[in-house]
Amino acid sequence: MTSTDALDTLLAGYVAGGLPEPARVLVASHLEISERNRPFVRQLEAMAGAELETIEPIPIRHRDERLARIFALTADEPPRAPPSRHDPRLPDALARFLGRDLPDLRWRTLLPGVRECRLGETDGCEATLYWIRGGKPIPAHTHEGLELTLVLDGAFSDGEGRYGRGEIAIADDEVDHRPIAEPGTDCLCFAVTDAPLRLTGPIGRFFAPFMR
Amino acid sequence: MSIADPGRMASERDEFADLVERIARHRDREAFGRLFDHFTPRLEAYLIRLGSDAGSAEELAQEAMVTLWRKAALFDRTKSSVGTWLYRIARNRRIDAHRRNRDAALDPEEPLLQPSAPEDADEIIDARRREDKIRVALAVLPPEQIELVRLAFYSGLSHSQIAEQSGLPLGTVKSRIRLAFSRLRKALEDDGLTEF
Repeated sequence: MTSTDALDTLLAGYVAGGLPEPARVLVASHLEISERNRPFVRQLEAMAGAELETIEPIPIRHRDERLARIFALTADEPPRAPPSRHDPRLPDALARFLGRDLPDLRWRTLLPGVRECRLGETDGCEATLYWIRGGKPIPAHTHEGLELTLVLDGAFSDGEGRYGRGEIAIADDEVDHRPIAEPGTDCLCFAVTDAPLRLTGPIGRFFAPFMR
Repeated sequence: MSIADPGRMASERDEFADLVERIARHRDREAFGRLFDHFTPRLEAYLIRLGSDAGSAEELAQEAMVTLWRKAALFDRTKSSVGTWLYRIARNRRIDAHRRNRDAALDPEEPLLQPSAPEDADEIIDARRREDKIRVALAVLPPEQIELVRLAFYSGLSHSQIAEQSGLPLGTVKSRIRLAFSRLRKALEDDGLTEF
């Protein structure tokens, strides 16, 4: 099973509207930044739209009242609030999810050059931002579930490959990966896990009691 | 995902797009009524299949149709069919409703979050060509994979529920679904379809 398969399935979950909120935000952010998977997502959406034509329709109740309610509305929806100004590295979908800008988040230092901001659990997934100085390792961990990492700035490499801005790394169960931020630009990542992290290695053991 | 008659679908697609444009230009109630009658029962059936009860399905479909009435001018026939556009709106409304429920449970004072945009910024793609090719691409999948894609995609069932229903081990379900989506993608890419 390759990570490409896992990514395609993730994209299909996004199209179907079935992802937990943090994963949905991660995919929406990816699509905002990167063009690569937009065509595939549009194709899957077209497939879902075509499926509406083959579905067995159910009878409409209160048709005339429902139409009258719609016609009573003014033509225009109230304009949406303009998107708030935020750090340009943040895609709009992620900025809305965070509800505040990067410097206003509660960051804490895990190691010199490694900061995290835990965003709590939503729909059974933990969301975390990592801010890693170029050249520093991201704390190694294994996963009891799936971890999705979207690179927002800089880049990192693990055993599987190199991930730059807009790319999603998917780490499956039993992967003990050791991501390292590339030298140069600080690496900013948005990570979503569907199970609590379990840190490994000497640093992990040291931090594990504080992590959970 | 059954293969509908492509000719009939193409003319219907044009007709629906014409109706949306009449709403955008003239607030044409007759045009809206026809789209309402066609799509509302389908959207409700789709939402129920995903697990909504009849009441919420009705509410969400109504919200989607309200969006069609108010935002008809944003529809672009070169980018998608009316069905696909409404599918995306209904999907986003369903996500918004889920978010409202969850946030209300956490903090009743929390003001409603921004609704999702009915349509994201999009690249220009010939919608008709895309939808025709998808039917061709789907035809390369073996029937059992199509069935799994259908279950994963439209039924709202989790992988473990699909495993339970089909009697297959969970790992098998997961890997077959992954394989199916990647074959679908490969079929689309071999066709040059992602080279827009």
